[in-house]
Amino acid sequence: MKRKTLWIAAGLAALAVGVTGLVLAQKKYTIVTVVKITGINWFNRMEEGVKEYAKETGNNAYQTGPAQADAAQQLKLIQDLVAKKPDAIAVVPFDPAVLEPVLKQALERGIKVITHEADNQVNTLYDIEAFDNVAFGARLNERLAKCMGYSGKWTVFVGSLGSKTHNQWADGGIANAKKYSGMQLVDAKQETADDAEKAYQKAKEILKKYPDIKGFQGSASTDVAGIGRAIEEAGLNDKVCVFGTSLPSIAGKYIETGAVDGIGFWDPKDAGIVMNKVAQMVLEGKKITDGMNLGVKGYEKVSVTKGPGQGFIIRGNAFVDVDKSNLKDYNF
Amino acid sequence: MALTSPPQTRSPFSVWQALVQRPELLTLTLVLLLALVIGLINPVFFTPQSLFDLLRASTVTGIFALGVLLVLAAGGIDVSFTAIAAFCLYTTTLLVLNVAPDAPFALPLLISIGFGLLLGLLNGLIVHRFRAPSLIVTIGTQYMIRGFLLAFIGTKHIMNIPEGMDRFGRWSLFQFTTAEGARASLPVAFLLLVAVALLTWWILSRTLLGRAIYAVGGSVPIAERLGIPVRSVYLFVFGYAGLLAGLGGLVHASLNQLANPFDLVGTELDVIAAVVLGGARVTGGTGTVIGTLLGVVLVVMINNSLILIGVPSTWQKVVIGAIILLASGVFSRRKLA
Amino acid sequence: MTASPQNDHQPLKPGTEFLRLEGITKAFGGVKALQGVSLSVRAGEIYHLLGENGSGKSTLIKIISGAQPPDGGTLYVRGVPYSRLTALQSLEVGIETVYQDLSLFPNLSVAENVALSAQLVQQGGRLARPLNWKALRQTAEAALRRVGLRDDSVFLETPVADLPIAVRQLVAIARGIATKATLVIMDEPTAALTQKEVENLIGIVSDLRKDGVSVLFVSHKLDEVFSIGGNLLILRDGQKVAEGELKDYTKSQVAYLMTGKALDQTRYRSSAPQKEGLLEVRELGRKGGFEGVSFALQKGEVLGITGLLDSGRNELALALAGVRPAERGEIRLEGRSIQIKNPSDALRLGLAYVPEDRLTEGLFLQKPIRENIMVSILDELLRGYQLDFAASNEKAWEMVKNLHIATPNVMIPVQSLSGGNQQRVMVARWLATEPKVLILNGPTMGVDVGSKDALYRIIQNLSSQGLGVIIVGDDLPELLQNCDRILVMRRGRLAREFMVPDLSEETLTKELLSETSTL
Repeated sequence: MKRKTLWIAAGLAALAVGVTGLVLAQKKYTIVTVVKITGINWFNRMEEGVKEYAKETGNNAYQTGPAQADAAQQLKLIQDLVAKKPDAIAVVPFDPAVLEPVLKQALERGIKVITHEADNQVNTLYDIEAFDNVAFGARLNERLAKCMGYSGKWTVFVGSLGSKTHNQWADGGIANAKKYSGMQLVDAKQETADDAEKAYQKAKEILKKYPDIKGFQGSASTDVAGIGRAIEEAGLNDKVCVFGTSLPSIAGKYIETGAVDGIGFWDPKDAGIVMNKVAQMVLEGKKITDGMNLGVKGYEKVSVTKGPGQGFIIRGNAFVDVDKSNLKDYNF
Repeated sequence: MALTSPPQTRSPFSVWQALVQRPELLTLTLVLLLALVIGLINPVFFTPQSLFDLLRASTVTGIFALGVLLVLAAGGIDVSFTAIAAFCLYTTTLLVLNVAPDAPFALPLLISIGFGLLLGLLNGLIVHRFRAPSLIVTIGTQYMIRGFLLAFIGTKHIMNIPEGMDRFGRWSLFQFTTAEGARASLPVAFLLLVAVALLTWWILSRTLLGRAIYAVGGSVPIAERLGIPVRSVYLFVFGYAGLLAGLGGLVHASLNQLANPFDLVGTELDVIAAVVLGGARVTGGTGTVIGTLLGVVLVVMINNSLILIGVPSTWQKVVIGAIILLASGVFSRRKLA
Repeated sequence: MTASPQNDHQPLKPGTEFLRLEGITKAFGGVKALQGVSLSVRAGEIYHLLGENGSGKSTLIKIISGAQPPDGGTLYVRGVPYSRLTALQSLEVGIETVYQDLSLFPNLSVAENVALSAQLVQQGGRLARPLNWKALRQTAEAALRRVGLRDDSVFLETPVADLPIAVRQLVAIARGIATKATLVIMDEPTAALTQKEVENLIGIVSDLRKDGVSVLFVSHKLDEVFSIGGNLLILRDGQKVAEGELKDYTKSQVAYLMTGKALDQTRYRSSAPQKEGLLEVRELGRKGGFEGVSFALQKGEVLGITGLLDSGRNELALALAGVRPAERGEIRLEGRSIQIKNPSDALRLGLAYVPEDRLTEGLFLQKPIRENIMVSILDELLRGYQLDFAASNEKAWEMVKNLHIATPNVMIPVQSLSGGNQQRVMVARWLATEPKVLILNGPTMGVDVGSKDALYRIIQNLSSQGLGVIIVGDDLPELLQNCDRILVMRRGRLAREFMVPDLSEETLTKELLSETSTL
């Protein structure tokens, strides 16, 4: 599309909206989604969402990202993009702090900036979070509690005590379990260093100390894999419930054998669609307000709060619960 | 008179004297003391299952530690072995999955130790060639190897490891069912540690190479003066440490049933601490296989038993640090004595 | 031109040439250390390589033992020409070296230190070979017996780091003779030995000679050189100035050839002590070291403290220096009772200690002369939070000049200085603190005649300015030449006190070796 025509079209559109209140149908925007790294299943799944959005709306929406998981490369890529001046960019920052200057520059040039998984980003219009972390932890725990019959000893692992999200998930779970008098929390928040082997060893120690343990909740994606292996080796698949944040590609094997009972996460495909939709709404001059329906599963009634900068944080309820029954639906 | 008098006996206690001569006895004492304390607090510790868990958890750390022992004995230090291990385990898994996913365990084993050996030799070559402090060199190679792995090889966890690795990881040496109905087992992989320990012991105490390693660790200029090929010694110790890193990495992935490129890096200080607590000095020229193994058991026991004795997770690092400090304090007293 | 090493050591007939050097040259950064040195070593002969520090002796030894390549010239071993020898080649052709720094591995056992290189050489330097522990022990036992050390398994397994320096010296000698060497080079082998051990060494050397082995000594002690006998090689300024049989020379001729100037062999002590008391020690004791030691030191006095190695003399010196403080008794300085609990106490109060083993106890070898001197007076040089480098340069230069330290500038590392100059840097450091008492432990150990002379003059000069000097050691001629009084220690106690002027070396030696206390 030639830039000049675009400008004229955009000018006309603004004029039309402003003067007559008419919305020009099928206005074509260029929206670029920048992910942390390309080629991994998670962001491949996100790209499906971006493509779906492009197909449905006819907008020029596409996804890009560095070939290596590297903040500097992502920065370079966005700098180049800003020079090309698309209508909007939707960024999943590798390191939000590194990107602040270039996103500021983008905003100054009139590019709409949307982010995802960066609720501390200052230079953004809307940051999109799939869910509230505490609510997510509570939801995982609720599934665990149900599996345990709302009673028995349980524990929760975190990757590290310094990880903010892991602690929010764990705290959400702990708060939820307090609702049930039979649920007895033991040796909470053991650290696993995001290493399945450590999770395995800690799980074995817990099993040794509490032979009657009934439930485990994991936080790092590798936690349930390690716990699951310990459960499987001990032959306790049917006696102990295991839930945690993870992905089918990591926990699938243990979900199939029953060592892990269920996992929770959010679907990057939906997040991809939502980012693009929000970008489009901003371009169209619309505001996203509390309780709004964004037309995507899990984002039917979003909460909107003030972000750390001028922008806002949009939170959905986009939990994806996976167990043996729907494991096949997710390939990442 | 000095001519015929024995070397000065500096302490009246023969027990202490024995500890001075054989630092591994000190490590053994610490291991037994700690076991006693843990067992008194939680008797569950005194079960065969605990022993199996301890040996199993010591397998990979032990394999790494024996490599580090050789480097320390030769007066160097290696902090890159975890990065080498992660590189080897991940690259080997990917390679085998793509080329021969049904190959027996021997194939990934050979590939992984081959990669490890090459990367270790690179360390040795740089350290000798540029006369650079091995700490700095291996910090550099650690970053480089890890960066290369994450940037060019991959960042995704691989759950479906090759058949051979999977089977090896699940293969048990012993297995029994506890009173509570839970199964306990010791993986065959533990035998690899035994084999590596025997090999390392043989090299260190039964070959000229072994003595040359200690000699170089004692003094490089003197070793050169006495015709000891220092370059060969450096290449060997770093190559050996790399090879064991490759082996340990592969065993880690097999036992873990998961090839995770983010694993292991960050644990190198635990391993080095184990070797030092086993009686090797960071300044080089000392250290034994049996001491190193005991040091590994000590560190693994500290790391894995804090749950049993009920230390809250927020305090675990403090307690681990305190025990290591205490142990090293005992060690330095020994050296002063 | 490098020939393959010869492993088969055919015993040479006494008198046949084993090693010949022709026109060996070596320079270090423009400084010519060796300027075309030629010499010949015949089987079964004893040689003494003499020369002042810096004459090129050490360089020559390094070239023969393969530690350094020559720039020019040829080495012939059994007639085979080599442009250079590697360390391994040198060992393989049968040249063993007992280095001045001993070159022992502190972390290895006595047995390994003595006999490991023998096996390595046997295998041509290849490491992937089994170690023969039995052979190692046997080789070590035999060699240790020859130098008069114990050969039991406890001693064989003792790490060298745990041995006193004198025993280490003997272990180093044992390594030199452990293999059937054809030439044994001994670089200052008696530096740490007592008289009796030296006599034993002389016995070993004559045994070696009978076996057709040549011995090349590097020594400063002319007395010893003459009592051993043999041939003489003198280097001066990198050139050979004399070669011949010792019996054709007198001591003073040799000294003249070494230094280029005639030496005063007589007593250095020139001034007399002042009548004013300086340091007084009463009933000083430390467990395992010394007990009930009392003596007094006047201003301007030079006091000698001697005794055998285990007599407690070192421990007493270390106690005064605060290194290993005394546990009992009283120390008074200028009439006031003082406490010395650590080295900085001693330093602050005005007691400076120059240790015996300058390599391990004193100098920072890689650091420049300036830093080595100024480390003792950092407080003084501090201006606010910064060191006054101009002042420290000035101070360092003053010391370098006063003590005649041979160096182009004060920023060169101490390790590149000769032994005598290193010792003077050590003295300079403590003089910089302007002490009242200077304690010198074995001040001229491993230092050549010329440097000794210089240091003695410095000592006398200092004492005439009112400084109290204590010389601890067993170099009896040194004590006799420099001291007013000599205290003899035995088994941790003061055994005898002598006024020097009417004392002969014989009397002192007898007292040193006598077993009963008379005091």
